[in-house]
Amino acid sequence: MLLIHCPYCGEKREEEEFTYDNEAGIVRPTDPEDLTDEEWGDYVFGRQNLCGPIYESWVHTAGCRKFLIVKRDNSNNKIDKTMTVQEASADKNYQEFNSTANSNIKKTNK
Amino acid sequence: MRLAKNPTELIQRDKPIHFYWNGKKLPAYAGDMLSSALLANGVSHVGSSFKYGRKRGIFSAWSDEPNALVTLEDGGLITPNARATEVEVYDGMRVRAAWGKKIFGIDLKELFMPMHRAMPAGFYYKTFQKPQFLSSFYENIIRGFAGFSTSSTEGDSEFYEEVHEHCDVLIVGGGVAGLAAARTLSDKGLDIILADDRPWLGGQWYLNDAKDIDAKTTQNWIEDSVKVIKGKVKILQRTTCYGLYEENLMLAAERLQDHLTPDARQANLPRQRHHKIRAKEIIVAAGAYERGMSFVNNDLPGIMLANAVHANLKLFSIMPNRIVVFVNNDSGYSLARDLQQEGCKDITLVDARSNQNLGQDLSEDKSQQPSLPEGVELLSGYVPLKAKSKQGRLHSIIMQNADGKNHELTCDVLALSCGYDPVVHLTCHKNNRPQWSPELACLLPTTKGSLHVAGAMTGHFRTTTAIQSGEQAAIAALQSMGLAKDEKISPIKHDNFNVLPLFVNEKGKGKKFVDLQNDVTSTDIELALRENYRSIEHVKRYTAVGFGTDQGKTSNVIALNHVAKTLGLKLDEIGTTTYRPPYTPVTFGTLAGPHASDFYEPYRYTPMNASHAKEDPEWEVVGQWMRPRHFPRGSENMQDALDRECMAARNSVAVMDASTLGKIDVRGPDAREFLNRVYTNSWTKLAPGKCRYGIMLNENGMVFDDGVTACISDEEFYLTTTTGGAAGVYTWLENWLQTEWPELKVYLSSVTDNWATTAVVGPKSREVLQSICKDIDFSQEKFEFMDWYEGTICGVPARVMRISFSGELAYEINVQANYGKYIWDSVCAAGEKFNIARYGTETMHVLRAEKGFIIVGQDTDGFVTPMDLQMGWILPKKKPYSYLGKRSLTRTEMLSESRPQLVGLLPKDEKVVLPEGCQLVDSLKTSSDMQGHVTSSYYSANLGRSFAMALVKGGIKRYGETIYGITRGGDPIAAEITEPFFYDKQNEKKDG
Repeated sequence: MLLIHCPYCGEKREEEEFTYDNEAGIVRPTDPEDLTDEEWGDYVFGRQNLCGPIYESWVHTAGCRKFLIVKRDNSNNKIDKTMTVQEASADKNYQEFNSTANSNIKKTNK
Repeated sequence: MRLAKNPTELIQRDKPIHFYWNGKKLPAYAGDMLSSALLANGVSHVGSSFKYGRKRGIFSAWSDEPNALVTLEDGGLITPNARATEVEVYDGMRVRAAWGKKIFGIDLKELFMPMHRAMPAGFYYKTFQKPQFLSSFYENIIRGFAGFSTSSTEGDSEFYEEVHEHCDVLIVGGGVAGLAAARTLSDKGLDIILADDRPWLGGQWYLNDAKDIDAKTTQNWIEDSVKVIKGKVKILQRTTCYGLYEENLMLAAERLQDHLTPDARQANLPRQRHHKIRAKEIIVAAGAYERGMSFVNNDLPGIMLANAVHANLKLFSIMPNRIVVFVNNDSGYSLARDLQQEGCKDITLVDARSNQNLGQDLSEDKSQQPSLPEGVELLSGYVPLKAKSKQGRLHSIIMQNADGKNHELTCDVLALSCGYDPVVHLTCHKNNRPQWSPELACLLPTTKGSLHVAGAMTGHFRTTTAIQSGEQAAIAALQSMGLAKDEKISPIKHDNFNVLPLFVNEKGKGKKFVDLQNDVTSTDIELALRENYRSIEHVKRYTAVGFGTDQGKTSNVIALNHVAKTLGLKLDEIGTTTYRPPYTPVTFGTLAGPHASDFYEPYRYTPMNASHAKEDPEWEVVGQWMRPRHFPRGSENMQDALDRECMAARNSVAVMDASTLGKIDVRGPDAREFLNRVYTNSWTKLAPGKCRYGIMLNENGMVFDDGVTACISDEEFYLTTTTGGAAGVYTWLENWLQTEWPELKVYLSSVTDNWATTAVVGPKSREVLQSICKDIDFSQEKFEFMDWYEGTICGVPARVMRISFSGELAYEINVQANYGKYIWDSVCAAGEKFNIARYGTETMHVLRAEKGFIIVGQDTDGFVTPMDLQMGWILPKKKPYSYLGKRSLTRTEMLSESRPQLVGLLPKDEKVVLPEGCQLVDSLKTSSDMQGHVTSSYYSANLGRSFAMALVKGGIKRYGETIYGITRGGDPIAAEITEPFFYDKQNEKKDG
């Protein structure tokens, strides 16, 4: 059972308080109507499902109800760090990860 | 045979008790384990094997027991598949053997004896595959044979508890290593928990060879240590740490009252307590199991592990008459010594190592050689070839040496001492794999970080070395916490007992069991390898070695080595199977803890609940809410009540509690824009004082919620969701606001519990409301459909909305929740002159279905678009923002005409109601394809007939066709496909 540091509450809390949401960094295309079915399908269903250190979106359901970004290595279940959505948008590693790992989703944002 | 009193025994001679074995009353002493009590009474046949029904006895002395599975007690107190070796006997305990069906005292599986040669690994899979139509028949028969105890059909009569604990150091195991660690840490002012699964502290303290301190000294040291740590260390006895999870979370099951007579158990204490322990540092000193060996008939009752014979001798004063002790290492010599000291006359010690062998393998120092007790006969260089039975138990054992010379020894017990296996389980739960130590011929744990190991776990099997390693682990834990100087700890020499690794004697014909619980033989493993199952995990699953309640505690290492040997590989190249929690079986009651029956899931009640309860309705649970389903009067059955309630709503007035709808307060300058994005329709022009119905789609274009939203002001909206979807919708909306659209200035609050909602429905509802509310004009001209007004009802501030889920003239009164019951009662009183009917969810369903209104989650299943529901009108073509799910609606697949679409069904027989969920076919030929299924189906008193809604492939273009509902065990029901609107198709009733 993980302990997750909530960057909003400022405390490490039991995993039971949180709910996993999705892979982090999936950005909604700005102009869905311009996309082909395939490109749109990539956004809706395409997930990287990578092994190793990845970024995930979680929500502190039984706490502040805020969404947070969790950097977790799914090969050993170790959490490296957690960030607010705002902090993540300023985090260079996170941005870099998304630009390479989520490249096919990125391409839908022409 | 029970000895006269011995100084180390745990049994209380002054407290004789009785227990019942398969209904027979047998004597025992307080302090006995069930296994020792059975042995003392000469009961050798305790279990029956899984596949072949062979007679089995007691093999071990603790949780590694593969055979002696029993059922304790009955009814609400039943414990299935308890290991007799772990059960403390109490007075009056009722125990049954856990074998399957017996006829005239014979296990049915045993009757198949002649066939056993033809039942190799995978027998059931291979044999009972074809013909397929017989497979369920086979399954029923095979299941009748399979398994051990049967479970109770009654509820558990005891309760369970859960505690969360936090500590600096958790020590697993109260043997000498664990106690040494606790002792070292006890004066450091730390929070320490020591958990041990046995009824006594000290573990297997009675095992000591000539190189070790004597048993008396060990006993004194244990007593002293307990004194030292008492009050400073929290000691949990009879507590099994069964699972280690992330961030040092240890789960442990404490058996508080299992060892007490049911009458003596305290009613205010739980049977077991589930500990969830978060520790900064964990020291695992879980000890080691003795290992046996595989040879022909090695499963006979009477063949035991040496440490089990030792435990029964020292702790329960049970001595065999004629015993053969087989060893491949030095440790077993101490058993022969102790047996001889207690006066056993007939001991033969068989050492697999020859004299020469012994000399070469040992260090130069001859004094390292184990000394043979006087009067004990030694046979060296021999290994067991075949055990022979008489009257269902061990009679003699044939030993063979390297030259093929046989030596038959008559005995009633054969003790096997073939090396120790550290209990590595907990250390492996977090993905650490154990490493094979060729020096010790066993698996050793690998650890890192805040996980430390000590004692027999690390190959320090002797008391002296175990104590040292316990002290070292304590220092390592202190260093890890930064409380001790970071100095290198020099390792302590392992105790290898000059072990000569031996696992399977492949000579001799007959069954050589590797896994005693699952009846896996060495030839089964060889067969699996021949059939090209190479991964150890595949071999395990194909043969079932290491499955079952014991999870291969006595068999895994033998199996691994046999696989390695057969394949000609090193053990490290094979790896091990995965050790997973729980370490030993944990009862479901403990896992559930207090979260059972009434506390399994909380019920939610609306503020009007007390008024409903007075009417004694039928209840229904809807997404945790307790809601009245219908309100039968007098002797009415369900259909009578529904008919009356429906007619009242259509012809007069009826009232329903709608408080359970999810309600979300949407506020902020961008609230309109937000609604535009999450709903399909437009909210730009909805004026304050107006309401609108909306449908939410997920990004896949599928309907996932619907509801009415009222515009309170330009920056405030009151959004309602389905009852069951409230929490999900709220999180969904928050997700978009927080992660995708942080630029929108919108704030959401869940206000479901803040408002109570009373729906007043029917042509007379206007009159009822006008009579209790003076400051709102309810006339048709003033108060239009989909308007809402603020006013005062019976002195209570209220928001009244004219919305309708029945098609009738209807109002929903929203008041602050504390006034909900008062308003409900007031409406009921005011409606009395019209014989107002209270109605529940079932009537609501009939009324809305008559109008073709959908219920999300009933008429939709997550794969239904608004077009499929014939609700294309709610999808405006032009909206500046591409609302959620919009793009998906134009995917090619969405435009297919053969998608399942919502239609109505009118059964040909007007009295027959189609079952909800029933499958639909378009012809009664056996090969016809499924065309869809019924989503809602009722009998309507207003229509005077049955009707249904269904999702049917391409249904919109199939009006007038006949379709058949397939029912279980009944005749197919023919129905005509129609449009999904059945009543008031012109929408005239909404104005009353």
